[in-house]
Amino acid sequence: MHILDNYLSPATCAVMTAAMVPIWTVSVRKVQRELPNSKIPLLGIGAAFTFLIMMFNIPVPGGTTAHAIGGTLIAVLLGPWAACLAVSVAVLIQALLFGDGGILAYGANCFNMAFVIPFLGYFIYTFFRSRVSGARAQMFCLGAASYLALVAAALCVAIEFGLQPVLAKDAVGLPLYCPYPLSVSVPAMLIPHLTIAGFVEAFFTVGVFGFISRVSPSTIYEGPEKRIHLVYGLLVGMACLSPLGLLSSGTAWGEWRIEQLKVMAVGGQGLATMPSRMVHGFHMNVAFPDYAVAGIPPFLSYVLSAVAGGACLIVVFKLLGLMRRRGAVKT
Amino acid sequence: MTTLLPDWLQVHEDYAPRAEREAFIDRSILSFLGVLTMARPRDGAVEPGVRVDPVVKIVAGFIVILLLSLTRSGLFMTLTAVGLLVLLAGQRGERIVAVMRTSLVAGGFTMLTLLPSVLFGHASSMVMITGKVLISAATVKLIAETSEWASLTGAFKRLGIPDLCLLVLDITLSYITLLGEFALAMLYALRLRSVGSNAAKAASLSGIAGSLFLKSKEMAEEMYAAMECRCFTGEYRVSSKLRLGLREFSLGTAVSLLAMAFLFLRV
Repeated sequence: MHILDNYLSPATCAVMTAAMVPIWTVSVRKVQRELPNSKIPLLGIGAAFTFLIMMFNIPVPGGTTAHAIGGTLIAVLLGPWAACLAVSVAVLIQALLFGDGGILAYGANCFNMAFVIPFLGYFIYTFFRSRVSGARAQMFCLGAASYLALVAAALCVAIEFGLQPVLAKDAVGLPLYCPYPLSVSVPAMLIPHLTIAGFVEAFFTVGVFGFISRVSPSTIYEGPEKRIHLVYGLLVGMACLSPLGLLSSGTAWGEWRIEQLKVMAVGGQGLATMPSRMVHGFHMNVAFPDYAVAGIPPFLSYVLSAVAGGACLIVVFKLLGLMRRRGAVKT
Repeated sequence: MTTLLPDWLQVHEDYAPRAEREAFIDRSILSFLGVLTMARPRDGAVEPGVRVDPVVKIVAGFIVILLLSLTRSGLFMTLTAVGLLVLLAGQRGERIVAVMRTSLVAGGFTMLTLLPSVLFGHASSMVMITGKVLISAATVKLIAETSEWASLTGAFKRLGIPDLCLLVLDITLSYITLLGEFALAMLYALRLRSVGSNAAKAASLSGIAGSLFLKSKEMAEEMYAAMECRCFTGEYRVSSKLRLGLREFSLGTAVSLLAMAFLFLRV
């Protein structure tokens, strides 16, 4: 799971670090607000605990061993914001002192292990915990949450690897960093995590959480009772994944531009004449033509377009909701 | 007066305990021992690399790794490797072994994972990336090996990292040792105190990790009490200023030359 330097391009590393900066900022603010001063040392000791979790070798079928990451476990024990900081510090120490994970790739490693795993694991667990009854069902939810969070982080790593041949090439088209496309990196990362690592993570998380909840239930983090809007999480996830569209070549059927129609082959031949109403039809200049923004890389433009589009839709629907509520009050 | 042994005690028994899977305990113990060895204070702070100001070391290391990641020139990679070898040559044997081991493991792992890419016609990429990983890992390990863990906190303070992050980092570095020793003692106990066959050894790991968490909570409370007693509010003040002597100047010059070589070879 720890990405070494030179697997990702410096531009990708910069983007991932830039993505982590607001997450770290909000985490520090949340922790300062939620945790009293007396609990601040727990953050450091939590980071040491996170670091040491990865030292436990757990036997797996086949006579070998694997280690858990414990991101979901830390999130349910300390809260997701504190877990984000604790795992970030643990990843920093691993990179700086043990050479486990890169210095340039620190932001990417934190995104995968200190953001995706604790937050996704925690929110899946809390979302389903309130909808099931019984200790066993809740433990199953925790196991499933830690399993899914780890697999999601592995998928993020695979996408980061798989995008490199598209994002960084030399003059003759050879990849400068990780040479594997998504068709190779996704199965290579997902198969071991779906079959072994995910289960190790789930068993370890459930085992340790079960022990702590039996021995000292008062030490477990009790977050504020908030309704989780799953749709917002889904929107953020889809916005992050939107640059995947760059991988496809060509245009969707029926969405051709005039210049594309000119060179398009129909039955082996190009179009003899262009439809005049299309050539002289109505053309509008839009803010993000082809989801591109001048001056920034295409994948960032895609994310920006997705965020802008998503935000516009939310604003429109909120205004419609407000109008409807006001209409109901009047009647 | 003679005492006769009872019959059941005189029967010869061939007790051979059933073979158990406990290699995971040994591996865990080895992992913890590795961490604790790294965490111990360095005793021989006499080599040139140790005396270089940590801020200069961190900044120089970061620049080298960044340039190495950006370069497409094999010659630049060779220049960096030679510079690193010169720095390594000034270190003592154990330190050289530690740096070489880490870099060779990282490089070997990279080569293994990139080997199938040769089938895609990316042999040159494989060689380039493996070389870069090897040198980057060696650079980081050399910085780690020649720095006291505590000195890193001071270096980060001077680089403008917020105090809360420094406090967390400082506590983490200290408590990795304390909690690591506690976990190690429990792992030894798990191996030694299981009489006969114990099929549930693996299940005990969750108990050990759980106890480790509870211990860490207890330690956090004790630490806060100690901080209060000593009027420590989590605010860090750097007592020593940035040291710019001959060693720092030499390292700075070497990195500047490397940066110029990078620009020259890019043209």
